[in-house]
Amino acid sequence: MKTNKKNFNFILGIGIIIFMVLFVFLGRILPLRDANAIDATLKFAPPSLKHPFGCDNFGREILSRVIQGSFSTFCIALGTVFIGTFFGIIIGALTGYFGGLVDEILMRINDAIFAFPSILLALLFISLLGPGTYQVVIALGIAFIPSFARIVRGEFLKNRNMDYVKCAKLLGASDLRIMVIHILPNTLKVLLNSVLIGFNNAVLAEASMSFLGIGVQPPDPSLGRMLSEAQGFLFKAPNYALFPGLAIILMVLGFGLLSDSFEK
Amino acid sequence: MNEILTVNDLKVQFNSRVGGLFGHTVTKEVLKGISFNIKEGEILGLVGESGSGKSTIAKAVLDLVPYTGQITMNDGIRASMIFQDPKGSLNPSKKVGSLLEEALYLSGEKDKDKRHDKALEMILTVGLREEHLNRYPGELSGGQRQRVCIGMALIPGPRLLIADEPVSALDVTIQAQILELLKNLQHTFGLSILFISHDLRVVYNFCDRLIILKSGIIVEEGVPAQVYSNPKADYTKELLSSI
Ligand SMILES: Nc1ncnc2c1ncn2[C@@H]1O[C@H](COP(=O)(O)OP(=O)(O)O)[C@@H](O)[C@H]1O
Ligand SMILES: [Mg+2]
Repeated sequence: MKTNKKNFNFILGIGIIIFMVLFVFLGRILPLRDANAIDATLKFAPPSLKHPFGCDNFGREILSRVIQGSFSTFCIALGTVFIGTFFGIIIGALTGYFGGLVDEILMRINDAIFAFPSILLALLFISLLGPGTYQVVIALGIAFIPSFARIVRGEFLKNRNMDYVKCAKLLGASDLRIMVIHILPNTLKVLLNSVLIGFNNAVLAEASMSFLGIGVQPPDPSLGRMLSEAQGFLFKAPNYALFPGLAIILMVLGFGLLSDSFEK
Repeated sequence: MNEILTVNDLKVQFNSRVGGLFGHTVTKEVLKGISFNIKEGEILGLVGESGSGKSTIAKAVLDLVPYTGQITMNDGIRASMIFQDPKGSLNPSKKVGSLLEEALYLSGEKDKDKRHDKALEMILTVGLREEHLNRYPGELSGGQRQRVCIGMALIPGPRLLIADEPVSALDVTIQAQILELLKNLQHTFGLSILFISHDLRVVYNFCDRLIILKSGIIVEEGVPAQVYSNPKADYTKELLSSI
């Protein structure tokens, strides 16, 4: 890709993410109505100056709920990617660096898990853990480990036979030191890219799970939940689905553009 | 003069599997019984075409590949290596300064300030400037990178330096500069050098003695002038005629 286009993607991506972060944090500072506060007189109130995004079927403030929902979705995605990356790095580094039988076994398990779509896998974990916000983070996090492990393993495999590693070995560096201090920094560029893509997948996966009613539990909002609740009122109150949908799109677009701009 | 390294009947073979599940193992003999020695303060040239087993000798001496035969290094003597490809032997994500400081740390210098001072001293020793400490390997030229590699190799205080084709990837003018640096360092630090090359021209003025390797066997040994004027092996004649 041309550098110009990459720069453009980078700036636009960063811009969208900064906008979303400001939106969420300003929204939490400003004295808006509580996201869960019900007011029957405001049922399906259309967007106005006082209620910029309008109100939902319970007369709850959609702006507050989109802000609160974006925040939950963001945090869930962050937690998910953190779990996936953390354990992915450990597993990938050990298997890629040492190879051998442990590698064979772990990677076959990895491949078996990887063969399932991560959302299906997460559903499986949810059926064991029960629904709820933390359960979703754990389930999605575990489901994300194999893809990160695979990427990190590939990078360690590539690096472990390079002369700079032999050089460090000759100087007496321990295996742990070689893995953490010498090889890991060289995998960060590739890792950053997959973290951003993983973040996108996590946002979408959280939205799907909440849409299915097994993520964030009512009355708390999440973007997926709101979409699911808005389903019945698409014609009556299109703003109800529009704004949470827009928030998801912006989040995914922002991180997608950013990861594009980091691609080789 | 004392021998610093003695190699006796060194053999190395690599096993690799061909075919999948029902395949078999093929054994490839890379070194077929090599004997030589290096004396204190001597530069020994090791010449042979690509694939003849030169790098494998270096790796065996440093215990990086399994071998049979005897490799004896005098007690307490350390050997360092300069690798063939100066691009791959420097960690691309670390600045030259931290590469040198890491080498110092691994060689037992636990004091951070002293590491910094010694890194600066070393970068000057190999003919670079202080500002180069702040560069990434990717920002240096091939010759500068090789100087950094030499600095890294000197840090543990080796008595034997194994230089595996240290100038093969460089332009002719830069080659001469690096060879001069190596020669100076050899004098200053009293090093012995095993100098590996596939090019007889490079070795001629540089080495005290040379051995010529063909397919894992030493076919010729002697001082350069004698080898050049009166080669014994047909293979050496072949090499000389191609210059
Ligand atoms: N790890 C290895 N596994 C299998 N074969 C190897 C390995 N390392 C080197 N060889 C083989 O040994 C031979 C000699 O290699 P090398 O010592 O690198 O030659 P040179 O440095 O003289 O070019 C080559 O044929 C090479 O393919
Ligand atoms: Mg070689």
